[in-house]
Amino acid sequence: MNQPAKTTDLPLAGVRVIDASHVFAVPYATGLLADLGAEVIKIQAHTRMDVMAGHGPFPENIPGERAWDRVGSLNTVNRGKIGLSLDLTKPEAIEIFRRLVRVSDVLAESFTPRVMKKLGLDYAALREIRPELIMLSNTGYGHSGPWREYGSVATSLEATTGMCWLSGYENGPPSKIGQSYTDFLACWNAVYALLLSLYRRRRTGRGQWIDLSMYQTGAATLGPLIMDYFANGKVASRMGNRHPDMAPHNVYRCAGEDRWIAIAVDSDEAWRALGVAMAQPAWAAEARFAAAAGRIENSAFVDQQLSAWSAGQNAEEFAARLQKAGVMAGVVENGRDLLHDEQLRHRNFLELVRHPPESGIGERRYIGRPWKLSGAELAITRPAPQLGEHNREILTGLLGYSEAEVDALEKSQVIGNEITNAGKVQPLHLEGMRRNHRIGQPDNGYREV
Amino acid sequence: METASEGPLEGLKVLDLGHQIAGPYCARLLADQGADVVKIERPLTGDVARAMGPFAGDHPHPEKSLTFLYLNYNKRSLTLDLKSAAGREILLDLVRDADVLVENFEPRVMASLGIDFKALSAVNPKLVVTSISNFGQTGPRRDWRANDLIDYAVSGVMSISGYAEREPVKHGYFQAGYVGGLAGSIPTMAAVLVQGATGRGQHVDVAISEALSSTLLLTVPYYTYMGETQTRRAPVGEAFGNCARARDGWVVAHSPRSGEWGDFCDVVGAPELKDPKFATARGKIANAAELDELLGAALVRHDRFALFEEANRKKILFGVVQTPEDLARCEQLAERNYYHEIDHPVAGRLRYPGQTFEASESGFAISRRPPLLGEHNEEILAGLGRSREDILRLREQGVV
Repeated sequence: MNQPAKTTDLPLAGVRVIDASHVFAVPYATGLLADLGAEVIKIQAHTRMDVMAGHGPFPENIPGERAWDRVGSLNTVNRGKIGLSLDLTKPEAIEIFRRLVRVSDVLAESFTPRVMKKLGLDYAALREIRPELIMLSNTGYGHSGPWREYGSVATSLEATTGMCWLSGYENGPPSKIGQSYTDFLACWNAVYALLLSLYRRRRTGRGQWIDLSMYQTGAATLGPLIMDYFANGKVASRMGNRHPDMAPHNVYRCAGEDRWIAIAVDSDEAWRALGVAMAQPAWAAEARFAAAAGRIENSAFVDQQLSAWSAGQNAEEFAARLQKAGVMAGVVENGRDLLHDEQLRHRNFLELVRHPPESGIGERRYIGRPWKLSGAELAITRPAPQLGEHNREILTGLLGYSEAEVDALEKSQVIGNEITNAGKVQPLHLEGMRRNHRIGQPDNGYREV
Repeated sequence: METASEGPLEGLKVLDLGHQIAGPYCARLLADQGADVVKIERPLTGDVARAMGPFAGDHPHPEKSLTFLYLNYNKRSLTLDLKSAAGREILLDLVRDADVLVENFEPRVMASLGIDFKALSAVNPKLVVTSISNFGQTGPRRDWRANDLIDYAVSGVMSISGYAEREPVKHGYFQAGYVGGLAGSIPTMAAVLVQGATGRGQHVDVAISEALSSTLLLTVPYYTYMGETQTRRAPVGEAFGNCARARDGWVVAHSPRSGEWGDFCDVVGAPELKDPKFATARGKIANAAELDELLGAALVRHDRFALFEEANRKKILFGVVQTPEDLARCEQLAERNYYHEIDHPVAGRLRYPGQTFEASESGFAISRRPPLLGEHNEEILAGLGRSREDILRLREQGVV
């Protein structure tokens, strides 16, 4: 189980963070701050559901009475936080927000530039009441420039950042990629920017405002290709799984349903080792493949022959055999494989978190962090809060409201712990999704992992 | 080149033993914020990124690699043969006075050079050592060899990328290295905060493939919540959220929020889509094939940027597929001072992408052009108290 134990050893012990954001990028960033020991207060809304909530997934595909508390993706990014629900259209809620800012170190938000100003919660206003505040605003394109008011989601950003142009099959059209990829670049940039600002504040006593542009975080990963245009007028394009200097460099079908192995041969020595692993077929011994140039030139043929061999192989065993021979290889793992992966298990990357009994969620594994510190045992310290779960605790304990005042705030629905107009949330249409190849075959043993 | 402002990391001393992308990118993110970064390279050939294209003027040359230039501005370069005793001694001299060391060798390498975390912290207990590797410093897969393709495969990301009837495909370009470098910057800064508060150093262990897996915010809970395994999609009913042809390139249309359908039809110039049968989410799914066709026919009549701007002005989410050329010419990036012109004695005057965020009081600056191989050998060695004769001898022995 999670071992929150000595939170005083954690790098961000004593740091209070307000998370006033939605969807993935900033919530994930503040979730990672919570793992580092920060006290993170998630500002929730009880007036509407998060846009991702309807997408689930829900435990056992049952949205239940409180679907908003039962969304797997949101429970991943909001882990480690305590929850305060506010209706920010009400002046009393703005007052609570401002009181909270007065006792906090960091505010991270992802509203459009107009919204925070309209609410009187922009940096200029908040600095007046909390001069040491570190505030991060995450938007698609930044708070300045001709596109500053443009709305965005990860999919539109994947296009504008250049990722779609470069992704997809070689000779195929540009392609959407993964799941909200730009959100994660923005997430990690946000955490780095906030840690930098905390470091600076410890040395200077001064806070600051960070204007993070998701667009720029994406373009930054293509730096040399943009420079290639500036310097040479060249426009790079899609390479699929291929590599300019290596072959074979692709994925190859293995035995079983949708099983694949990735192989990258980076030297002639590795090529010979691959030949040995395939029991020395005659084609692989041909002189024209002995050097990289010949393999790259004939990569379609090489891929075809290699696929014919791999089709009869067990992907896991083949990958292990190739690695033992010094050849870069790995199984194309799917979601199920990750939960059974020995390496990830060894590193406790997918952490078991226990939800409170009334949530009905039970124990589930969640994505942890891709880093470890030798000086502190990082862990997910608590499950994501249920809507409004800590309203009373935060208002009375931290902000000094009386119990009677909290009652009144509840009555006037400034705070709340359910979404009254949510309507009935439907389960995911799994059979339809299966027909459309969004999901494969179910695995009934998933609760055991 | 702008003048250096007081960066938040001013005074932080960093040794960059990185090569290729992940380690150097992590160290550059620190350098961009004012840290004093010494890049340590192999004598003669230097960082292997110096041999990676593309090259300025399309001319392969160790000082013209755009990959190297982009990842190493704001740093100084020292060449050092870490396999020699004299080279290791110089490294330990540097370590004595350093705050952070970043490396991305395969996990066994630092130990084989006699400079693993234990050895380094014996010399300097407050040192933060950041090790970025494909699978991490522990576990049964620790010593597996990998690159961008293998990281993508093992991470799970490839299994949902591409089309159902075809092979899994990784993301474009070498994303894994950038993701690894970016992910490395976070625990490094966390450890620097601890160092400042307690004077204690520590070992930071970053796994690139786990960073990629961290992006699977639906794939993982699909399994842990429902036992379902996400797969690659079939290319049907894909009118929204995918790349679609415009007259002069590609755009991405988003499924409009309820109440915006009429505006959306007007913007894309397809009044026939106002038919009530398309108005609801259910209707869109039921009539997906017809919708795909009508929308596709409408989009292809537009110039991509005109449509992108018009839609966004009307508050309708819309993406435009940009190429590296579009990024280079982008007015939004120009307005955000994203590009920085830097003179370089071999590569010439080039434009470099810069900061991902702006900070109101501190932040990004390019105060140094990318270093030539071993450019700062004498300055750094002299700083360690080595005499001219000493330095000459080290050069003759091939240590620097």
